[in-house]
Amino acid sequence: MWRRYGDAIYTLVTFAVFGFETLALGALSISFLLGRTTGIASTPVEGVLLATLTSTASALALLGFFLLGYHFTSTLRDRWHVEQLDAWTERWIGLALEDTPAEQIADGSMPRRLPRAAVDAVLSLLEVVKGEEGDRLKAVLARHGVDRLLLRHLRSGHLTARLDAIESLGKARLPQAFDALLGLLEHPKPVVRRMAVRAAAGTLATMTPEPGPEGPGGRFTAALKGASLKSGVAQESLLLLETRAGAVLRDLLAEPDLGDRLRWVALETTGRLGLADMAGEVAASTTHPDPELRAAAFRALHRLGSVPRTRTRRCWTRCGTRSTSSGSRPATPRPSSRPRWPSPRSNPGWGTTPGGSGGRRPPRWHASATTAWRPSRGRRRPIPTRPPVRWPYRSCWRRACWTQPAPAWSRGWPEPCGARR
Amino acid sequence: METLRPKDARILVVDDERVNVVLLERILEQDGYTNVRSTTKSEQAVALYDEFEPDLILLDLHMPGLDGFAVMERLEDRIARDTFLPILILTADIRPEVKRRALSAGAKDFVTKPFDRTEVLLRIQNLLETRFLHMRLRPELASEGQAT
Repeated sequence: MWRRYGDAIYTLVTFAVFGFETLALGALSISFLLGRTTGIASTPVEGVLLATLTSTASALALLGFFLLGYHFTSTLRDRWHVEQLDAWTERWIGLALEDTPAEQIADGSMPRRLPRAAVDAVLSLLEVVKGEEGDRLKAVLARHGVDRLLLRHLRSGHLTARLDAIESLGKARLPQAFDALLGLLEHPKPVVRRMAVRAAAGTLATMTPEPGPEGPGGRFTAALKGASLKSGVAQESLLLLETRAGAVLRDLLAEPDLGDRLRWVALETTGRLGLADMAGEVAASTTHPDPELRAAAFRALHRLGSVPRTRTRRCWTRCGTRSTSSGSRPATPRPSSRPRWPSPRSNPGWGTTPGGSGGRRPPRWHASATTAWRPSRGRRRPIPTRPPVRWPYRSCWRRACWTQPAPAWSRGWPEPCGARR
Repeated sequence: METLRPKDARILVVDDERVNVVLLERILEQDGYTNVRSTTKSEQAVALYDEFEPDLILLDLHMPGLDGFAVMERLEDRIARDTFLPILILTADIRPEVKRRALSAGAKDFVTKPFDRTEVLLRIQNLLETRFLHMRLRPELASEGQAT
């Protein structure tokens, strides 16, 4: 409870109590040294003990009274706040659902400046409703100047006030705050950037789409490209875009100079959201020089459940495997009992460990340690090219693998040759 | 006796946020649903289910104590296999894996917060219609089962 109210008062009382004790003990020590305690107790030692006991007891009693008093008042305050919140919630719901005319709510008993409970209630409601009802509540916020107040707090020098304002704007999703939130993506503090990108993404999800780089989606993409965000934060913000995520992801993946980290995030998010119509954009990254990005692209394609034909062929060609497919036809397994594995020297981003069984088993492939960027150390797992299937189906697996990529570390390998295993 | 008119349907709302519960109650009330009960304590959800026997449950996923998944798990034992009890999830969690997990745990539909009133009402109506159609078919299915 100290975190919410009374931090300052509690600190002051604690200082007062301990200060009093220190002073009392100091005075007693000096008195003892000077031999002045003989009038209070029979012996100087008794005097010191008595005085120490008295001062400690009174200090504890004071602290105890403060705690009880604080608990009592905070309970009362909480109860009052909840009552206020309920009352305001009822009023706002009435307004949102058109039970009560807006003029009646606005001009009747409505104070000029909304109390905290009223703002909390309307923000809580805006977290739940959108559409017409949400617009009506946003209009109330604008009418009472809450949006301007929050925007002012957004530029506050106090970090707490600024974070509170970002949180409130994230709940309210006010379009007028969108650019101010994007501006905070360059803030030196990571916590501000993180909260701002979340709030901006939530706001963008409710804004009217406008095509082009000057539209909100384009501005968000540009800000995201320039921001220093962790992969998880960027991914979360892209997920928060809801139906607008597709357009932003398409813009991001189309950027030729997009950073590897953000490209990885865009690929992962596309896969997670299952945006099947973006398979073409994702497949373009299957030939990226960074093995982590290639892996992310394949993972995304597996989640999307489709691979564009042309890209599949490119992939086959790149890996040095002779493709027998002609675009529309599926690839047939090569009749050879010893498939021709691609040479590790053909790609500097890949390395190998020797295979077994007298050379009949292929080498294991792994991402090279010299790769420029990796999302994390935990992702530096070997990328096996040999499937966990019996020998006769190995060549079948190669077809299954490259026409329907499935990374071994995510979902298991695809069933080789349909259901033949 | 089971209700067969959608507006008479018994609807149970389980959400830890009081604001959400009040809002949903008002939305449903305004749309003509008269049999709505709610709780902000997820621990009471199962007891309320036993007592109220709802036709539809509106459930939040992230709640303190018992979360939505745990509530669905507990309800699973109480819902007969041949019964169609729709559970509509209302959550702010937009992660696709959460959605999949909820749907595989027994949820029938999923609405993300912030939601649109019309969308919620339509989904509720559709789920209730399915429930009542299922209830109408149940005697016929039972007799068919006995015949075979």
